[in-house]
Amino acid sequence: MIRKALLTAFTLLLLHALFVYVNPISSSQYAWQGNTIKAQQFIYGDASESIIVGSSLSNRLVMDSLQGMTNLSFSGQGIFDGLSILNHSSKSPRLVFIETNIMMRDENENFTSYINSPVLSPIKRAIPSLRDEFQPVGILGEIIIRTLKKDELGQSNDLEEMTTQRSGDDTFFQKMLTLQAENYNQTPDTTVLRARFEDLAKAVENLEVNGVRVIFFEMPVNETLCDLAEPQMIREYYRRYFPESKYDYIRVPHCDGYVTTDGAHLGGAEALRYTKFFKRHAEALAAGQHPAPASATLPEQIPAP
Amino acid sequence: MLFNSFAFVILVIITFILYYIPRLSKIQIPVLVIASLIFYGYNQPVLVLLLLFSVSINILSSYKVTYGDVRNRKMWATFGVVLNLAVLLFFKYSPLIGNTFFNAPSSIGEFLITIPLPIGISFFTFQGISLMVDVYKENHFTNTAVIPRSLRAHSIRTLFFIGFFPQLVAGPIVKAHDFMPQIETKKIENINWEQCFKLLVLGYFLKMVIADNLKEFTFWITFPYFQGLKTIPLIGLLLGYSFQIFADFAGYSLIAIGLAKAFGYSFRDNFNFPYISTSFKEFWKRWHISLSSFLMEYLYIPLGGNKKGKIRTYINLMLTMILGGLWHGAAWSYAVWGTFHGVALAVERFITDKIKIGKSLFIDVLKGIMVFGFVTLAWLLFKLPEFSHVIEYFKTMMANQGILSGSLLLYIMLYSLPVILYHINYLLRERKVEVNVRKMEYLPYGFMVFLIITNSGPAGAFIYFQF
Repeated sequence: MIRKALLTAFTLLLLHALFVYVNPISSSQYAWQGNTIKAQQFIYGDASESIIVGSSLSNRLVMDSLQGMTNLSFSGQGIFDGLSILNHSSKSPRLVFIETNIMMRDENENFTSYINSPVLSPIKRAIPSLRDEFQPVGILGEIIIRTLKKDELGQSNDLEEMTTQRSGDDTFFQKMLTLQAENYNQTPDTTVLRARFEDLAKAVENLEVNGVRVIFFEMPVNETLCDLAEPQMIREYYRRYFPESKYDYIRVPHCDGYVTTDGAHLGGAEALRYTKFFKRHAEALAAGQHPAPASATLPEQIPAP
Repeated sequence: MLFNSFAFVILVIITFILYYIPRLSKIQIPVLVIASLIFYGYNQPVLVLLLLFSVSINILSSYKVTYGDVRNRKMWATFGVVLNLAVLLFFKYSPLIGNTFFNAPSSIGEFLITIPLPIGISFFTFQGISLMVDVYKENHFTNTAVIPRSLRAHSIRTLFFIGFFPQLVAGPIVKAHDFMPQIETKKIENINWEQCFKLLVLGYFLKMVIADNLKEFTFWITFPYFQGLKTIPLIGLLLGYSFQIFADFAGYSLIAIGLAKAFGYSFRDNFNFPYISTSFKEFWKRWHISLSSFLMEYLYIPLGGNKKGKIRTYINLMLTMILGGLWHGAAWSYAVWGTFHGVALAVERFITDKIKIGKSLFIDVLKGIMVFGFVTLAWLLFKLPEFSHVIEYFKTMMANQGILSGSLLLYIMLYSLPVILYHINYLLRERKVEVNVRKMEYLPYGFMVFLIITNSGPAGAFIYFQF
């Protein structure tokens, strides 16, 4: 019985590999899987000139508008995961953009050890069908969703829709904003913050030794959160560890009225608006120019919904 | 150390090889003891000291009950049980006591809430109590047959019984009278490979494919995120959590039973298709059997069970369930969860005493749905330990009417389906078609191996680790 069961499993693995080869349907079922897929596509894919590392905030950047860039920003995680994956890969980009918003999240070792695993990583490199984006249940789900049409099933960013900013004090958005304000108003533990910056300084130094140029950027959040205690303190530490005389920054003063879904994350149209702003500044900085101060720039055109 | 980690796989392979080397057959138990200590202390070595302390209480007390002065047997047995309970109370319930009975600035309160919860303490202290009670009562074995005269040999056997790694941190709770008589030299040719394979494949499938994937969706039950969801997804999440908690714990138990079998030891089943239950009494005979039978044997019956009149029976039932609830976690929400089940059992007992309900498939299905629905609602207290958040969840369910989040529902359904099929397969076990299907059981097992390789979710700790 054991032999027959193993033979069945082996046959199914072959069929699955064949299916993925012929019809590579990629699917992401949940946030953690989305993160692993993004990381695996980076380490098994072609090299990019520019890499973005960040949290779920920069995960909202619209990458279709940022050709030639790879986004290693992960939902629910921080910059140290992207940096660890970049460090373990054989890729050597020219530019690395580091998001400055979230500093209190350390490397998620469950995640990075899974991605950088010396056992699993070479297997998944050699056999693409074993990568997370080709999980059989994900493929099945994707086929069902496509068959039933996304709109009818309510697939299209329904969670985002639920959280979009609306008027009234009792909306989910207002509740989330209140919670975010509590968090953003807390002064970070200086011992922890210092340790994080020491780690970041080492990582940046390591990148620079390899000829990589580092540019920092801050994602806009709701205006009421933008200048609370935590972001202020993080900015202060950045100035101390990475002075503006030596490093380039892309910042949006006072967050420039960006609309978010929950106080911290940009919604679809607003993410596109910021992506365009980011792109213009990133290209200018990469070319060695310094664009006009952000506050002097005209607001980006918001596309019609 | 997690059952689904590489470190664990390597530990098991090395232990297995050493264990079955014929030349080392005399040190089989020490080999397993060392492996168990590595397993337990892998992430926090200091915890091994606590385990050794807990075990030493039981070594001394059980030895004294067996070979000490006959007049002091009861004293030593009481000493052992009380000390086991004291260890459990101190490490598990100090934060609850600190938070409930001491004000925040109080230094005692502050001290109590900082006491960490050592993993597996609820399981290994219960096994210690089982040893004390069994040795004292001598109902199941003659003490001298399982407790050697040599204190050294007794110490190793007791450490092995309490610390054997498959059941050490999340059960099943193994009773002394089931395990101690099995301790002897084992041979590799006696392994039932097919049974081990089936248990391990099913266990790892339930844990890695079902529970680990479902947990990524049921994350949305967390406060305040669920407030952004609509009624149908909120119901779907509850159902998903119900299947997840089953897959997680039943999966762990099956892996533990399969591993123990590979080393020649048999544990009793811990889950027996609980979601087909048509009464609460039946549910508790099918869910976490090792705990419910422990509570029955060592708490409900000693309290008088149903032998001391109707009122006492109800009181005993409630007390057992409330304490059973608190065993799961040091928070009042667990006591509320136990009370819910206690009330359900009491009401059910009262109704079945008064009214005779006829038997038919329709009534059974109706009762099954009712029991499953109630059990599922009560699981919310596991996911949301703050009672106010539970109320908020139900309020949101009523307020945000709608269906959005179709993909969420779809994936919850896809991952829950195997658990449903698993139960249906059991219900149809006597049918002819099922007998024929069983001849091809290598197909589902092969399919499960395939999904373990290709479709495992992010490795997460087992839910019952926290207990």
